[in-house]
Amino acid sequence: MKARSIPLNPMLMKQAPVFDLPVTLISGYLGSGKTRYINRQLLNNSGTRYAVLVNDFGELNIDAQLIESTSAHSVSLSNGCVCCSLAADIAAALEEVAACAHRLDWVLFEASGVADPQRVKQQVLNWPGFQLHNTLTLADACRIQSLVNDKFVGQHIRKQLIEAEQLTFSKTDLVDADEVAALQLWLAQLRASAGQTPHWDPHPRYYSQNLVDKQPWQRSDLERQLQSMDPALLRLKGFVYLQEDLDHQYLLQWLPGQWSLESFGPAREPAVNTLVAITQHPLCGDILSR
Amino acid sequence: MITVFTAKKIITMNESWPQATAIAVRDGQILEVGDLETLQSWLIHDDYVIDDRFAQQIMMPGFIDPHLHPMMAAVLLPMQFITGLQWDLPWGTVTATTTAADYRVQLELAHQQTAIDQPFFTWGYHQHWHGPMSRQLLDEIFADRPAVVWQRSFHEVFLNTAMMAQLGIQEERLRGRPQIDFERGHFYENGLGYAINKLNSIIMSDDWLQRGLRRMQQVVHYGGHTTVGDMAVGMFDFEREWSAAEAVLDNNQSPFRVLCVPQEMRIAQRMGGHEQGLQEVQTLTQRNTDKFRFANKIKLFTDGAFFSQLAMMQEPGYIDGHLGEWLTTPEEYEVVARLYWLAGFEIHVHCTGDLGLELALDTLEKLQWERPRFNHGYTIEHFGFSTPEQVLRIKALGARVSANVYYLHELSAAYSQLGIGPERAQQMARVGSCERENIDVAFHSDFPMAPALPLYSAWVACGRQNCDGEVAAPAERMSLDKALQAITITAARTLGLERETGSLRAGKKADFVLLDRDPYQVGAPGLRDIKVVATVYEGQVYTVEPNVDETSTSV
Repeated sequence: MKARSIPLNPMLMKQAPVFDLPVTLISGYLGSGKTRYINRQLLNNSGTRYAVLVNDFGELNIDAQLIESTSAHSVSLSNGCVCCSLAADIAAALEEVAACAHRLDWVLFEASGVADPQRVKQQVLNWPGFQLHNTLTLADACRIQSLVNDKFVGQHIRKQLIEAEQLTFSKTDLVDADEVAALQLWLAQLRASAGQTPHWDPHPRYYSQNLVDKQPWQRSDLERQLQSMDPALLRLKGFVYLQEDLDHQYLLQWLPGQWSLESFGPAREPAVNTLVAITQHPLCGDILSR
Repeated sequence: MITVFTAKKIITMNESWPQATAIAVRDGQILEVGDLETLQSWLIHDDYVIDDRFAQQIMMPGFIDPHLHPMMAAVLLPMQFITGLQWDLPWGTVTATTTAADYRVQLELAHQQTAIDQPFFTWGYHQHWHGPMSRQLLDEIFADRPAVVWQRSFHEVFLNTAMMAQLGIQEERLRGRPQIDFERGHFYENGLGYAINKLNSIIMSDDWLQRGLRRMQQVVHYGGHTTVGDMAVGMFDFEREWSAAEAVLDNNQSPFRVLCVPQEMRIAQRMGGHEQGLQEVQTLTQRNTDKFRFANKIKLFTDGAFFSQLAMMQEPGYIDGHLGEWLTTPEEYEVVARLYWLAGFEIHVHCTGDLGLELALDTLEKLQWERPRFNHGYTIEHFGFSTPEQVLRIKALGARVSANVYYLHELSAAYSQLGIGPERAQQMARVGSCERENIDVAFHSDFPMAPALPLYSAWVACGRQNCDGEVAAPAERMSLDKALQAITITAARTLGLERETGSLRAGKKADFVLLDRDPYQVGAPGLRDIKVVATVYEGQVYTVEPNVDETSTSV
C-alpha cells in the first residue's frame, strides 16, 4: 500500500485520478423485482451515493420531492444519488456517471435479462472508470420454475441461475415456506446437473457509515489510519480538509489494497469533512478515530 | 410533350406483358409500353421526341432496395476503403489488398493522398490478409496525424498515439480492461463502445455526415436503384437524421425516392412510451415530400445482430454454447406488435435467428387469431436462419420476406466452422423453399452491411456460392425470374409502392435502369458482371459515370 504524493501544481489539481466505481450488476427477467430492489436502495441509501443505471427510469417511481435536477437522460436526487437511463445510449449513460464519479460511491447497473450474462459483464468490465464488484441475480419465486422452460427466454433464465454468484428469490411472501425450501432444492439440483456448484451466495448486504465533521485532519494521523483499516471496509470516499493546507479540499479514496489523498480544487464554504464508508457488516465504532 | 425511350430489350417485370422495345413517357409517367409502331396511338396526338441513346442497352424497372441504412452508411463512407476483397464503388474500384506489405503501402499512399490537416480513417482492415496491426505501426506511418483503422466487421478499431491524445484517452484509465489493449491502441468487441463514444465527435459531426450522405447518394445511384427503404429512421437521433437526409437527398439531383420506416424502440424512448410513440409515428406522414415519405409502416426487432452471432437460435444453439440476445423482451415484443397491428400498420420485424423468427411468427399467429387481417404486410426482415416448418407458417399466416442473401455468401463458410455447424449454416437465407411456397421474397443489402448492388444479391440467391466458391444448400437456390422480381416488383410490394413503381406498365412512374447486358442472356452466373449504365427517375436520365467522386472537391 502506497500513498501518492500531493500535487502542488494547481494545473494538476483537477486531474486527481478518481478510483474506479464499484458496480453491482443486477440481472433477472421482467417481473423479477429488479426495479423494486433498486428503488429500495435509492430510498434507504443511508448516505451511500448510488448511480443507478436502468433501462427505464420512469418505472422507478421517484418521489418528485427527491428530485434535485434532471437532464435529458438522467435525474439527480437530493440524497446524492443519480439515475441514468440506459435505453437511449449505454455509452452516454456510463460517461455521464464517470464524469461525476468523484461524488458517487457505488453503481447499480440493471442488466438486460435477455442477454448472455457473460456478455453483459464484459460490457461493464471494459468501460474505463468502472469495476465489476458483484453480480446479483433476482428470481421471481412464483414464476421461475416455469420461466426456465419458456420457449423464448428459458435459455437465458437457466444460464442466469446456473452462473449466478449471488441470488435472491423475490416475492417469497406470495408462496409458503415449504415451497421456498423446495425451490432452493430445485435450484441446487439445476446447478449441479449443469456441473456447477450447487451453492450460491445469498444476497449480499452492505452497510454505510457517514463521517461528517468540521475539524481538519492532521495529514500524518489520517495516513497512518488509512494504512490499516477494518477488514470489513469495502470502500471509503469523500472530501476532507488538512491542517497543513486549509485552502484546498482533498479527495480521499480508499479501496482494499490502495488509497489516495489528493488536492481537489479550492476549499469550499463551509469547510466540512464528508466521508462515506461502505462495509460488509455493521461496525461498532467509527471507521476513523480522532 | 412525350419522350419515347427505346432499348434493345425492355424487360417489364409485368408477367402479362413481359417484353418490349419502346416506352412512352409524359410528365414522369409511363403512357405505353410496346414498340415504336404500337406507341403511335399516343404519338399522333402529341409532340414527341425519341431518345434512342439506350438503343443498345437492356432496360428494366429501376431497382429497389427495401432495407438499407443511409445514416450508418454516412458514417462509414467518408473513410478510405482498403479491403481484402474487391469493392466496386462509384468513385473507383478498390482493388483487393491481400498482404501485410501491400497493406502498408496502401496506408502510406492514402496518407499522402488525403488532406493532411484532417484525421485519417480507413475501413476494411482484416488480420487474415493484412497481418498484425498496432498503434506503433500507425505512428510510424502517420506520425502526428491522428489516424484510425476500422476493422472490416466494424467490431474493432486501432487508434494511433495522436488520435488517443486528441480524444483524451489516458492509459491509466484503460489498465486491466479485457477488450482494450492500450499498448497496441486496440479496442474490440465490448471495449469498442468506449472508443466509438469518443470518436463520435468526429464521425457524427454535421460535416462528416453530409459528406457521407453525398457518397451514399452516389452508391444508391451506382447500384441502379430508383427507390430505397430507410428501414430504421431515428436509430441515432431522429430530427438530426431527418434534416441531414432531407438536405442532401431531397432535391433534383437525387435520382431516387426514399421510403422511411421509423425505428419503434427509439421513438418510444423519446416520447416516453409505446402508445405515445404510436401517436408520434401517426403524425410523420405530414412531413412527406415527393421523394421522402413515411407510410403506415413500423420497424420492430426481435433478436440480435447476425454479424455478431447474437441471433437467437433454437436448439441445439451455438457450438460454443454462447447465447444470442433479444433486442426486445419477448413479452414486450407482443405488446408493441399488437399496438401497431390494431392500428392497421404494416410491421417490419428484424429477425436473424430461427428462434427470433419463431417469436415473430408466434406473435403474428396470436394477432391473426385476435383480429384477422388480410394483406397485412407483416415482413420478416433479414431472414438469416429458419427451418422448413417455419417457411410453411410464413405462408399460412400471410407474411412476406425481405432477405439479406449476401449473408450466405460471406458468412456461411465461417459459421459452418465457428458458429452452428454446416447443416444449419448452409441453409441460411432459405429462399428456394419460399419460392416453392410462392411467398413474396424481396432482397435487400442492409447497406453498409453488404454491397448495395441488387444484381450481386440476385447472383448470390441464384447460385448460392460462398466466398470459397462452394455451393451452399443447392436446393435453396432461387430461379432467375424470382430473383429479378425480388429486386423490382416484389421489393416494391414490400415497401407498399407497387402501384407506382417496380414494373414497367402504363400508369407507373418512369423509373428505369439501363444495363449493358441482358440478365436472361448471361444467365444467373453472369448477373454480378452486368454493369449499370444509367438510371431514369420519373423520366429524367441520370447516367452512371464511374470514377467520379462528387465529394472530392469538398473534402
